[in-house]
Amino acid sequence: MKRKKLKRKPFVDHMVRKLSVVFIVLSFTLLVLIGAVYKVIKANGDRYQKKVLSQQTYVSSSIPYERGEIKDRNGTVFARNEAVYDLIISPKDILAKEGEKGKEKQVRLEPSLKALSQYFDIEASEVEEILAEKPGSQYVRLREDMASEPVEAYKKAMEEEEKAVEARNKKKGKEEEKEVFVDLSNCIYFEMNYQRIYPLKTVGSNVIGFATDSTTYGIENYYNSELTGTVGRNYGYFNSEGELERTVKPAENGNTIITTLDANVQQILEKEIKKFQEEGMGADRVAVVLSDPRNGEIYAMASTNPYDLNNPYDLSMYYSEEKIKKMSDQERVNALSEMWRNFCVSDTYEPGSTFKPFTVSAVLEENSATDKTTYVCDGGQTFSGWPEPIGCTHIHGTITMAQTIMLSCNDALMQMAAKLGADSFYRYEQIFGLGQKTGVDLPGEGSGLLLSREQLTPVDLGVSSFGQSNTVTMMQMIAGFSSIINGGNYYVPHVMKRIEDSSGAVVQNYPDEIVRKTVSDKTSDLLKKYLFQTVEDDSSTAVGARVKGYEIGGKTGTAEKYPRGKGNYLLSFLGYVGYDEPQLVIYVIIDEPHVEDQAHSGFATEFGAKILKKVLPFLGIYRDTGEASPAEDEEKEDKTTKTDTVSGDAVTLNE
Amino acid sequence: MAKVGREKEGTWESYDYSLLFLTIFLACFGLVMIYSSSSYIAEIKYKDAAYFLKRQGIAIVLGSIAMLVISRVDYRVFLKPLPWKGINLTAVFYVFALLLQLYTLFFGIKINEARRWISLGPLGTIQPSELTKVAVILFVADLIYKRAKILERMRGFVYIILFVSPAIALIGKENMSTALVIMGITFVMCFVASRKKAYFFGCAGAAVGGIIAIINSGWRSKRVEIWRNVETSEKAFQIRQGLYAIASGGLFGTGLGESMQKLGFIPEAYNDMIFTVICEELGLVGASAVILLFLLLILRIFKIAINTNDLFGAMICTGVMAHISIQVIMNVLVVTNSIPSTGIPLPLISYGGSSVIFLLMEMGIVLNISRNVGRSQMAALNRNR
Repeated sequence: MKRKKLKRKPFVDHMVRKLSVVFIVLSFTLLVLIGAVYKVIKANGDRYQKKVLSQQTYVSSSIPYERGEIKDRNGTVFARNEAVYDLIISPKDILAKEGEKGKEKQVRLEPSLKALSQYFDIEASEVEEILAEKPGSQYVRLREDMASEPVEAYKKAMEEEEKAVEARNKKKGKEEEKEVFVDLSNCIYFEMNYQRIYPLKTVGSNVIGFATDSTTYGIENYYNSELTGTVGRNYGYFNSEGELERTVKPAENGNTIITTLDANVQQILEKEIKKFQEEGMGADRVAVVLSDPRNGEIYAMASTNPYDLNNPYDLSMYYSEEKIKKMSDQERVNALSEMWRNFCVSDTYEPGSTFKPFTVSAVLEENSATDKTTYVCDGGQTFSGWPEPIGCTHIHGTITMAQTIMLSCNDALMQMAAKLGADSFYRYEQIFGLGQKTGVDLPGEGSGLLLSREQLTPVDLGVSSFGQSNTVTMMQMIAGFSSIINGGNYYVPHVMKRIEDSSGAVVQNYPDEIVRKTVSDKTSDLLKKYLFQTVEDDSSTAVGARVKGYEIGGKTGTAEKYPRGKGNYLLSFLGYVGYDEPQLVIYVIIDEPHVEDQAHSGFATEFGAKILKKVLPFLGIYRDTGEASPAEDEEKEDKTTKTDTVSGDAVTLNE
Repeated sequence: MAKVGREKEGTWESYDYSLLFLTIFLACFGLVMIYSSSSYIAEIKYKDAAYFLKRQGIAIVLGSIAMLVISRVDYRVFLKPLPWKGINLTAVFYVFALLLQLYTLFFGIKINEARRWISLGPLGTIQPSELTKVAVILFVADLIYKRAKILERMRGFVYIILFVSPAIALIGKENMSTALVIMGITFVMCFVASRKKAYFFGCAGAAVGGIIAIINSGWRSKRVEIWRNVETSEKAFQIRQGLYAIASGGLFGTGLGESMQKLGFIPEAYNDMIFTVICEELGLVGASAVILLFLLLILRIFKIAINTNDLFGAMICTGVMAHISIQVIMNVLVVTNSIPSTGIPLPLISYGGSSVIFLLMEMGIVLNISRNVGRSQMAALNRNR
């Protein structure tokens, strides 16, 4: 029985015939399907194609992201955003008629006009003009960048109105006619956007920079990719019931940049520079950088060209209205980029004697001379092929190694460099990062120009030793100088402390890494001592930098500018605060002071001291010894003015 | 060992590689179209553009393995009687499918207001009605194989209907369209097996009348309303968007991946509506090519059926052929708005793991039948001993 069941039964002929019939019917039906598709294409192709295109904009719209904020090290906001609204009206919806056939009325016209004038102060005549001009349009931008207050007031009023109508309808009896709430949401609507706001206006303008749709500067430029978020999207799609379902892919806001800057210090700095320019002697340019030598963090940097970040294209701070009107496009662009420029990072110049600590460090580090070495200054150095000797400011006589810095003796420096040799000198220039970009996290960094090893003839080596002929940037000097006084640790100067996401979680900290070792602890200690004596010793050149109660060291500079012999100088002071562990580096540049006799670095040291006195308490750097009364400070200021004439290191070069 | 023996018997020579290739090609083409039509929505919903692609890819790999394994196991194993008298694997399989349907009705998962799925925990969900289709094909083939003669009377037809009706009833409650497909399969199989014709034309007429009656009664008449007012009805949005897609594809289409309608306009474009995206991207030419591929597929199955010389195998082939072509026909008629809307996936191409896995298993059985093509009854008997 079982076996029988497994026997095959044939697929007999009549079944084959009927299966053939089925196959033919099914095949034919399948071919008919092609016809069904063709029918759809032929009947409605063009019309449906247009529908597809017209739907595209209707269902998705973008949601703006919020650009990241920029804050100082204490959380003070340099740059933030404010929601602004564009007011859009739809004339077609405003003019639309509604109601039973024959009794149609324009129910939305009156309320729309009323709402626009009541909440947005838009005259009915203005609206009516647009309605007459573009009655079929659904999108007319009536106002741009409105503040959020009237928009919110309007939205709230509409909601309340709707509720009120509902409440009134509830109270009414069945027979009474119900009130209809006039929904204006299709007639008047808003598009939100963010506007960049700089609450401190000019403070830190050259560092912070600004961001418009087309242009970015400063930190806004350098960290643009971090600050930029991702645009969100509003999608609508239709579910199987045919109802519109909204999906929102929210915008991702940009990251916040916490800078190393201190808004207070920055503000004081800018105020002092302004005062110097307006009430003091004034100069073609003044620039100051304050930084932390322990890690390269920049506290503040300022120069004489701040601008209002909220109106970056406004030149009125520097030019009269007439002048602006007369400017050609190119002149305007040049004037703007000059105003936006960050001198402290971009510009190069000959540093002058503030370079001397670099030469002395190299000499001590290479054991070409020691702390005990003495030099004889006879007022200059003669080089073969040069008719006149390269001069020193004074005839210093026999001086110690420390005194070469304290008295800023060019003669001794030239002797040192000659003995050190061009090879080693050039190598140390590289070690200190001169003539190279430091990698500071700001755009447009300059690199300066070093004489190449081949160009370093004996005379060029001589003048290079005290900071003439090579050009540098403030960043290079700050970074190199910091390494000399902090034990030889070269840090990249930087303005970013950390990056946080929009919820405040840390995304990235600035890697405070030592890039390289420049000098040994021993050399560093010696230089720190020399620089301290340069300020502390009454016979020295930088006594003007003293601030009562603080241990300050530093070096002055008086670089003669090209063309030589015209009496134009760039004065500078490069110093530190805190002898045991330097906590602050200050670098002051005064370019061509507006006085008869420019060659007095005392202008720079004095100005530096003035800034330090104001700024140090804000940075949490307090007096080491005793408490100084304001009276004592005044007294000290008097004393320093006398020393003006002591300082100065003129250089005479024949071309 | 066995392989050598089989080759001697010559069974691999008749193995239908064309059918195997066609099946795998259609499934892979489906993968491409699923990725094209779903990546946008998948990115938004699941943050992974390949979400649907991956899931369908896994289903196709599993299904293909099952298909290849099944094509090596003699399909007549289904006929082997089990210890209980008169009961064989087809019956067990059918009862199992019915129990699953029953379970689904009470404990299934509801998606889009229909309770059609069973949760397998971390493995996802399955749609038992896809399994039931296979079970019905095997069971009806077995019934006909055992009692081909009874179909010469009305009584025999009723007898088969009685056996199949629980499946139709259980599925029909939640999934009318699949119930219709099962009815169609059964009808075609009986029609082929019977010597009579008049009954069937009568039945066909009655069925059409019944469908119209069902359509006109209750909530389902809404679908007719939508069907007639596709341009204006709010509920016709899905079909309307599909028509826009077909129409904007034109003759040659907008190009693979270039559909605009899949960008959130056609809901679940990777599912029942996938044919509209094929039309939009590949045009009338591409759509015709897909239909011709299906035509080729059923042609291969037809050839296997008429050459097999075994009633059970031929009836299975008939069932599979009916299954695939009915689904293709219904799907395309729905998306072109030629008939009122009902949810039927395009076989092998539409997204849906259960559907593709069970279809590939069906194809595995057909492939196995192809290996027995042309063999004499004696040889078969010898082998079975």
